Order: sequence, then structure tokens, then C-alpha cells
Amino acid sequence: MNSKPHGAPLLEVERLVKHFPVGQGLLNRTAGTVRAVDGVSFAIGRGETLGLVGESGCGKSTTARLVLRLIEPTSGSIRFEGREITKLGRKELRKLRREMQIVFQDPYDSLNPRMTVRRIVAEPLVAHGVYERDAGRIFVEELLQRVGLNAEHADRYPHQFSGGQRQRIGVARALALRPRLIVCDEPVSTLDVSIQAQIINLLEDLQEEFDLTYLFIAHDLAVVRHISDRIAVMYLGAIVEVADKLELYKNPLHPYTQALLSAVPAPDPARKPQSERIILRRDPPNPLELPKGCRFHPRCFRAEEVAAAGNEESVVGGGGHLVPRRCAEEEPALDARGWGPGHETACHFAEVRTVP
Amino acid sequence: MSDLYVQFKTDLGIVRAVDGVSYTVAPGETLAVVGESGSGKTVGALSVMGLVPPPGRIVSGSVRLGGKDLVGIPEEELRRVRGKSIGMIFQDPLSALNPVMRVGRQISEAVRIHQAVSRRQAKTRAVELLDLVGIPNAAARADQYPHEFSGGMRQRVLIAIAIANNPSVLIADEPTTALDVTIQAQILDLLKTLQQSYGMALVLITHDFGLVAEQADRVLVMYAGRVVEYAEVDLIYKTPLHPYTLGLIASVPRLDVDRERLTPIAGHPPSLIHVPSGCAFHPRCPWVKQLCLETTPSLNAGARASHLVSCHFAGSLPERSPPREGGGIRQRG
Repeated sequence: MNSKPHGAPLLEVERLVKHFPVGQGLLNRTAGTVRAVDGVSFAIGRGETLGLVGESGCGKSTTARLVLRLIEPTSGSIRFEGREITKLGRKELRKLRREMQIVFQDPYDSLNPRMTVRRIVAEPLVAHGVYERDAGRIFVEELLQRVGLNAEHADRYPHQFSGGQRQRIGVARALALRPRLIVCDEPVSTLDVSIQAQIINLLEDLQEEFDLTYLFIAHDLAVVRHISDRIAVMYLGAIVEVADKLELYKNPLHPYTQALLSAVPAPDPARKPQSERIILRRDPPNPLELPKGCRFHPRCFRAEEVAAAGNEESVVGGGGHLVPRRCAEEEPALDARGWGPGHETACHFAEVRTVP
Repeated sequence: MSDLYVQFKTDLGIVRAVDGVSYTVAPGETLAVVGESGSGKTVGALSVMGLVPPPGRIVSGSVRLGGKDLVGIPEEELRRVRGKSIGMIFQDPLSALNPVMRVGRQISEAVRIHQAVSRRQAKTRAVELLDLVGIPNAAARADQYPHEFSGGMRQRVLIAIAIANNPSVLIADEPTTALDVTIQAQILDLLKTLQQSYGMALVLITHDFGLVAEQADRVLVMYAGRVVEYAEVDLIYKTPLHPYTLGLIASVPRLDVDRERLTPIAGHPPSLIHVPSGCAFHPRCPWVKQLCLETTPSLNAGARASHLVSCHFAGSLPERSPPREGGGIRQRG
């Protein structure tokens, strides 16, 4: 389980698990368990950006919150600069929070509408007792300028700003304590296209200037490709593939990654005739009843191909079609099996497929 | 649609949501209407259906369907068109369905409003439609409620309702924005198939330039309630003429092309109450000149007769040179 980061790891996550019990009925008996994060391992090097992609409900945002210990993991280990943080007490955790910050998806929900921008940006400083009156004022104004706003904006309220400007305020707040790691949870997905690029460029500039490390969570594969050094693809609570970004986009190994890449429409009418697109059948399964074996097998076209070739013992899988017995029964582990350096995937029958 | 003006009177002033928009769409053709939030693309679509919410109203212009003007006809008559000749699919499939009515019933009602069929026939038709849009076990699923359907399945139900009466025009307002990308591929595939087999005209409203490239025959780019560029899809991508279109295409990260750095459009979309003078895009335009502040450009043919653009300098912009970052006149914000 070593998805190799570039440089020494700042953050290492190992076999991280978060199960949510789902209550039902009058007595709120536990009716089932959603395995939102189901044994996730990855590492991020200093100054690196790891992109975490996947569709809604795959557990990427839960992973982000676990890393920041905003929610408690069921099991597994999280190390920040080599230090285990899952067991830290309140006081130590507080100190740690100066090092790790988050930029949220929705700049409308994540800023308190009753606070001035000055208070919003200064709040982390105040909370950690490092806000000094005069120096703080100047510091906040400088920070606002750094993220592309004006010092005069400090005394306004969030509703006086556009979506892109609000996200700049969110970035300024995350930056206030000079953290080492920033978790960006879909930071541009609610913004207009012409504004997205502004925020992405800002995040890139700040990374260089402040030597930041990013865990960048998004569902937009083009955005992730642009900003990341390495990318991990999640499906139903597990990482199914991880690789350097160019390697991942050039030689995708996991059928789910291939389908994801194939599904993205290219903004060029001359390319990619639609007939070559991989269209997955069915919807993702109910997270309460994860499929046995490989969690992707009920939707997997590769499993069907292998079964149809007839060299593998096959059974009827969770999707109602013939799949190799291994796919239906044995959960594949994330391994490197001699592909490009640092390229790992969790598939019994992985093979490179160039996505049109 | 020709020269349509839609305005909303508010306490803060008049919102010019649609400000003189014209387009045509032929049977079997897909027209993409592209723009950002507040560009007027959705209000334009709603006015086709006669569904502009108050205080908004169509101030002038016409919407003709097969030669008949729909603007100003009585609500009674409009109701016979809506859902029959023109179907509509909305962005959010959950809020567009009735949560306490069985899915099959919602489809059969749409059938019964416009067709003289029995309850039983309508029910059969509903199951047929569910099957047609690719819902497995259609007969059983028809008896379920919307919350029992996934997002992609709900969108399929809405498509079934929209096509229940074989409309000649289908308006799809961001039909896949709320969906995951693998599900989006399924839905687009379905729309394309249905369009081909029924010869519907499709008006696809979107902000996604990838979708446009794949789906559209022609493209209408809107900014601040106005059309800034209108051409066949190939021309829009190969030789975009309006600085806004150029900016949009340059600012999107791509899967197939490596870009060291994105070139965003400076500033942000204007308020539709205080639309900038002259060309509405001038505060964000890297090539702005004095004329742009004073005179509103009209929509004229560029190098080709079929390629319309509204920019004073469309023909003479520096070829392909990217707009400088942070350019344009600073917004007072």
C-alpha cells in the first residue's frame, strides 16, 4: 500500500475506515451500515497536490473530513509529518488544526452572513489566540489583497460579493494561519466557468508562494487533471486506481477510470465520435449493500469481456451478467503489478485501454 | 424566437433578463444555448413555454412554433401547446417531480392531459415510456415514488414525461448538471437516440462547452441577456469571433490538452439591472476600446453569412492571442 508521493510525505493515510450506522424505525435500531470510506490508503508529499476524484457518494468528502479529524474514523491511521493524529487529544488537535485547513465547496453556505469579511478572515487567528489588534488589521487586509480582493472589502458582508469573490474570501480564511496542508473540497464546482479559472490559478499561485500541500477533491476530471500532480480515483468508498496524472490519463487501467474518462465530453467537435464512448449500464449500487467481491463488478464491462472470452471460470454476478468468479467473490487489492512507477490499481483483470 | 425582450420589474430596477434574442431551430436539429448564470438562457427557455414567473413578462417579440405565434395567446390555448408540442426537461430532477405521486401516474397524467385515452391506456403508455427511456422492470417501477429512484433514473422519468406526447420541440435546461459524469453519458446517449427516432428539435441549455461540442449542430452564446455569437458548432470552436466566446473556450481546463496555466476572463458577470453601457462585455474585455463603452454592437455576419457576432472589432481582434490575465477595466464591486 504505497502510493508513492513526490518527496517526503506530509500526510500518510493507511487503511482508513469510516462506517456510518443507519438507524431505522421508532427505536432507531441500526438497520445497516454505510461503508462510506472502506480501507483507503494514500500519501501526499510536501508541496504536492493529490487529486481525489469520484462521483457523488464515493466517500471523497468523508475522506477529507476524516483527514482533518472533523469526524472520527472507525479505524485506520492518519499520520501528519510522521505523527499519528487519530489518537490526539483536544489540546493537541487544536494545535494541529493550525497546520491543516479546508476550503469548502459552496462559498454561499460556508461564510457567516452576519460577519464582516474582516471577522471571517480573522476568526481562525482569534480562535487560536494569535490575533493582535493593529497588526491583525493589516495582516487581514494584506491577505485579502493577496487573494485578489481589496483592503476596502474588509468591512463588507458576504452577500455583497459574487460567487468567485466569496470563494476568494474562503481561501483567505484558510490561508490565515499559514497552514501546511489545505484540503480543497470541490472549491470551484459551484462557480461559473469564467470564474473557475481565476480560482484555480489563485490556488496554484498560493501553493508556490506558501509551499502548500493540497488534497484536491473534485468530480470534474479536467479540473483535477489541471491542478494535480497525482490522482486517486475513488469508487464506493475505496481507491480503485492511483497514478501520476499524465500516466493516469494516458494509460488508465481500471475499467471505472476508463469509463469516467470516456464519459467526459471533449470541448472539440472534431474529436471523439460518441459511438466509441464507454457507457456504463446501471446506476451505482445502494451503499447499504456493497457488492461482494470487486465493488465495481455489477457495472463492469471488462468483467463481462473476460467472462465472454471463456478462459476464466464464470458466474452470474451482482449485475445479472456473467463475470469471472474472482470478480464476484474476491475483492481485488490496490497493487502495482509492474505498471508504470507509482501506478496502482485494484482490478483482477486490469489492462490499459486508451480512451478515445 | 424573434427579437424577444423579457423584463422583471423589481424594487431595485428593471432586470433585463432577455434583451432582444432571436433564434430558430429546425426539426431534428440541436441548438445549444450557452452562457453563465444570469445570462438569460433559462428565462429565454421559459418564455417559449409561456412560463416566465411574475413579475417577469415578455415585453415584446415573438415565439413562433410552426408559424404560429405563442406570445400573447390565451393561457388556455398555451396549455394545449405546453407539454404537447413542446416538452421541457429541467436541471433538478427531484424538485420537478411530485414526491407523493407514483411515477407511473405522473407520466400517465401527462398523457391524459393531451390525449383522449382511458386511464388504463395511459398507464400502459406510461410503462412503455419508462421502458423506452431505459428503466429496467418498467411495470414494477411505475408503481414506485420518486424517492425510490436515483438521480439518473429520475431524469429518465422526466424525459419520459417530456416526450409523452411526441413533442416537436424539446427544451432541455442543464439536463445533466446535477448528475454524475457516467450517468450524464447515459442520459445524453438517450436524448440523442430519442431525438433521432422522433425528429425532435432540441434546445439544449448548458454552460458546459464539452456538451456543446458533442451534442449541438448550432450554438448561441449569450451574455447579459443578449446574443453575442451564433453559428454552426464547428465555427464556434475553430474560429470563435467574440472575445467572450474566446475567453470561455480558453478558460476551461481540458482532458485532451495540457495547459500550463488557464487564462480566465477577468471580473465577473454583470448585474442585469445595471448592464454596462455599450457592449455589456466591455468591462471584462481585454481588447476594449472607447467605442465599446459608447455603442452597443449589433449582431452581424462575420466572415461567413451564417456566423453572427456582436462585437465592434470581431474581424480585427489579434489572431488567437490570449486575453491578458487580470485585464479589462476593474469592476467596481
